[in-house]
This record gives sequence, C-alpha cells and structure tokens, in this order.
Amino acid sequence: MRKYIKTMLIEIKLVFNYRFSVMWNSTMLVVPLLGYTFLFKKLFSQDFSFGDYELNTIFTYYFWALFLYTIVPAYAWSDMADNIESGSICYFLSKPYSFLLHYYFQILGASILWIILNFLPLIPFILFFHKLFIFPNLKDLLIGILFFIISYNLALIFGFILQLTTFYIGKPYGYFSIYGWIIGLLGGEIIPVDILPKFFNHLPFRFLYFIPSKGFMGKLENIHILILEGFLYIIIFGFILYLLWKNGLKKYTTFGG
Amino acid sequence: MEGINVCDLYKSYKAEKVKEGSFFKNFFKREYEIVKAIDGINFNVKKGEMVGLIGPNGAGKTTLLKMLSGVLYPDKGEIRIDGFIPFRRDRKFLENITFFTGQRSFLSIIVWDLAAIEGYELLRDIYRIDRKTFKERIDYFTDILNASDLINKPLRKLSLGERTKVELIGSLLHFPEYVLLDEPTIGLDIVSQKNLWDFFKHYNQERKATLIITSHYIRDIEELGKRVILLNKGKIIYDGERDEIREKIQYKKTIKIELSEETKDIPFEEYDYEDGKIILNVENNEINETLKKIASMKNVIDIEITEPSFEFIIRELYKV
Repeated sequence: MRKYIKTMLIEIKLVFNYRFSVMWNSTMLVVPLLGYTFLFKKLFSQDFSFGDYELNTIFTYYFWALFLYTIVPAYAWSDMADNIESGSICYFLSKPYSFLLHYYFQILGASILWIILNFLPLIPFILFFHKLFIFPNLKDLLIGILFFIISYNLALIFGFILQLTTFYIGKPYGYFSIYGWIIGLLGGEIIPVDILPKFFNHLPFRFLYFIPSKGFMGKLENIHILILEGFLYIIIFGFILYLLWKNGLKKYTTFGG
Repeated sequence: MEGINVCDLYKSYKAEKVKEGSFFKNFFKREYEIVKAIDGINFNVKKGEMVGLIGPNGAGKTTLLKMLSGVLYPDKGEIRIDGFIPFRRDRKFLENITFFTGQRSFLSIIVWDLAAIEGYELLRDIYRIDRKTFKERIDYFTDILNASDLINKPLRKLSLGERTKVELIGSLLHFPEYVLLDEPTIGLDIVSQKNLWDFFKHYNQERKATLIITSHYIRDIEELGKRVILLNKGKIIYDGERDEIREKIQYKKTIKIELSEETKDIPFEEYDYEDGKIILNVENNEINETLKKIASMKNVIDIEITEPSFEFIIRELYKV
C-alpha cells in the first residue's frame, strides 16, 4: 500500500510544479457559477418555472453539480490509453506494481488537491450569495459525502473502461466526446436529471453528479435503496473492468512487439 | 530449474496492411494480415550468461523480450525463468527481473517533471528495499555511471544520454538477476554507448546477473557478450559464439550506390537492389577496385560504405 501512497504524493508534487496552472484552475468554477446565478435570478424574477426547482434550490444544485464535475474524474487519465497504445504499459507490467492501482491513486492524489483548491475560492462566493445557498446539515453532509464516494469510484471505473478499450480498438479519443455528452446530460451536470423524461432517472450515470448534489441538498428519497443501487453499479461495472483488463492483457500486442 | 528456458515459442499479431490508394477507400475498408512475430523458437540461457540478441527491424527481438518479461502472452509454447512462467507475473519473479528500453522508460512516465530521486523512492517501496540498502545502491550506481548530479534534476531537463543513465539506475535498483535490455544505447553518442556497454559487462560480472541485450546494429556484436542469437522474421537463424559471426564479417563491407536514374549498365556481376540503391558486399581488399568501377559509372550521385547488412550476414550463415 505504501507504494500507492507514494504515487499519490508524487502526483500532488507534480500538480504543484505548475503553480500558475493551479491558481488558474482553482478559480475556473466561479465564472460559470456566476453566469448561472445571474441567469436564474433574472428568469425567476419573471414568473419562470423549472421543474420543482426554486431559485435557491437550482442555485444550490448547480453549485454542487459543477463543483463535483471538476473533481469527479469521469475520464480517468488520458495517458493511460497512450501508455497502452505506445507499449509503455510494459514498464508497469514488468514490476510488482499495478497499472490500474497506479492510476487510481495518482488520480486520487490530484483529486484531493483539487477538492481543496477548487473549494477555497467558492467560500467567498457562498458567503456573498448566502441567501440563495441551502447549507447542508451534518446528516446531509455525510449523505452527500457517501454518494460522492460512490460517484468518484463509479466515474473512475467508467473512465478506466473507456481507456482499456484501447486494448481492443485503439485509442478511444473518438468517442470521448460522446461519453462527455452522455455524462454531462445524463449525469446531471448540464441540467438536473429529474428535469429529463422519467427513463433517464434510472440510469447509472445519474450517480455521477445528480445524486451526490441532491444528497448534499438533503433532497434524496429512498436513500438506502440508492446506496444499494450505487454499490451494485460499482460491482457490475467493476467486474466488466476486470474482464476487459484480463482479456485485454491476453490479446495485447504493441508496436515493436 | 535455473536460467531461461524457451521451448517451441510462437507469437503472432494482427497488423493493418499499409495500402496505397484513396483515403476514403482505406477509411471504410481496412485489411489486416497476421504477422508471425515469433515463429517456433527454442533456446536456453544459463544463469549469469550475457547474450546478445540481434536482428534487423521487425525480427521479433522486442516481442521476445516482452514475452520473457511477462508482458506478452505467448500464443503457443513455454517460457520458464528460474521455474517461473513469466506471464503469470508472480511477485517473486517480478522482483527478480527488469525490462529496460533505451527510449522512454518508467521514470519518464512517473516523474517527468520531478527529479529521478523521487521516482527512486517509489521504486524503493515497490521493491521493498530498506532505507540503508537503498542509499548504498544509489551511491553504487551513481558512482559507476557518474550520475550523482543527475538524479536531483528534473528528468525533462536531462539530455537523452543523461536520462538513459538515471532510468537505468531506476531499473536496476532492486539488483535483478535477470536484466532484459531492449536497444539500451539507441540514440546515444559513441562515448555514452561505450560507457553503457562497459557498465553492462561490469554488472554481469559483478552481480552474476543474466543479461539479454537486443540491438539492430551489427557493429554492437563486439559488445553484446560471447554468445549471440540472430533472429530474423521470428526465427533463430544463428545461436552460438560471437566469434563465428565476426569471422564472417570482419573482412567485408557493404557499399550502397545511389543513382540519379535507373540503368542496366552496371559493372558488377553480383549485387542487390534496395530502395533505389545498388547494394554490393565486398571483401576489404576489393574495395579499391570496386570504387574504381563505381567512378566509371555515369549516374552515381552518392555512395556509402558501411558494415555488412543483416541480409548479407543471414545469407552467409545460410551458406553454412
């Protein structure tokens, strides 16, 4: 386990190596949030209706959904596919060191950093718009965190599955954008999933942003069933990932061998 | 069962056929062919032996090394290294081998923007090396390779030669008994190449380690150890003493003649034609006379005298 903790620490160092990039990225959430805030303030002042949402609930929803969008690693890491295609995966496979766990902990290291760095600039934002923001109580906060953990792991599994398809069909960049559309729309980043037709409310993608956001807002029903469903998706997609990995390695060939 | 034992090994893969033709036709319909990368080979390597694995590009050298290191599964046949089956990747097996290439390697992927020492710390945890031994080994390698100043600089700021040194230290930190080196000196200048060849010999002798080193340069034959395996199109063409190959090539040169236009008026009886160039394989004592004949040709625009080509050596070996 120590080797993977070291991987996390290396990733944190690597992120901090580019100070200006860190500073710029950590403020990137404030601009779209401000945009949404002024848009919905204007709309709701004109007898506007948006599902069951009021101004404060939609404001709080987008706050959480966009925040989660920046920290949930839905694409995993693009150089994973590069390393498979170029053959650099060999340096991992010839060591007592897991390729998948390397990326899991590398991404986790970066995520921990981004959770902190992305949240800090949001504090003055929340304080400024405190009348619109629904502050979570302790129970909602814990429920939100639990669903965030499910979301995080599910997103990584989705991302890994996407990257591992490189074993079978080459680099998956062609359908990265399709996947981006799917998770943006069906995950709840573009609009809340409960605005969409009922069918879309039963897909696993809603666990990425929609359900954790609702969890932080204290607006979830049947929480036990949702927790069970979330873990079930992790097991099912985790198993698919396992099969892709095992079979991918068996049929693996690469440039220069 | 100690050492490396390879028995009736096969590996093939599907490769896209490179076709000339319209972009759209190729976009919608692609054709593939099965390439036999390794085609039924057998060999054994004793523990502590240093073996050179040579062959032209596409001979199957890298595929073979990757199968030995457990990265690729064979289609058929068996490999055992100290009794371990490589592709099962038992921890004990992985702790005892290293796979190194002269191009991008592990540290460049992990710590490109950081110093190599950060990557070494990770490798220390991967191979469970205690702090004292780790320090001793770093000193040992940096001393031999003259790399003390390099390991604290970001990798991206090192030259290729410097980076090869720090990458090599990383791949040997766990003192592996089996060292698989794929074109380790590629891209390096002559002095750096010489230093690395000396280092490999030193490591082989001092650690009693088994080294398999690939190269597609016939000139490297002098450095690759006493035993040479020559691979061509996935088959072993030759497995034996380096000196025997050396004897066949030491008094020979390959002359490549580039012509401005094709001609039938070529004053040589035996020659090959490759990429628009005439290829001649001549004895050293025939070079003068050959050059005179070339000078008499009208449309010569370039000539190049090199070591004998693999194709020539392979033909010579088949004569035996």
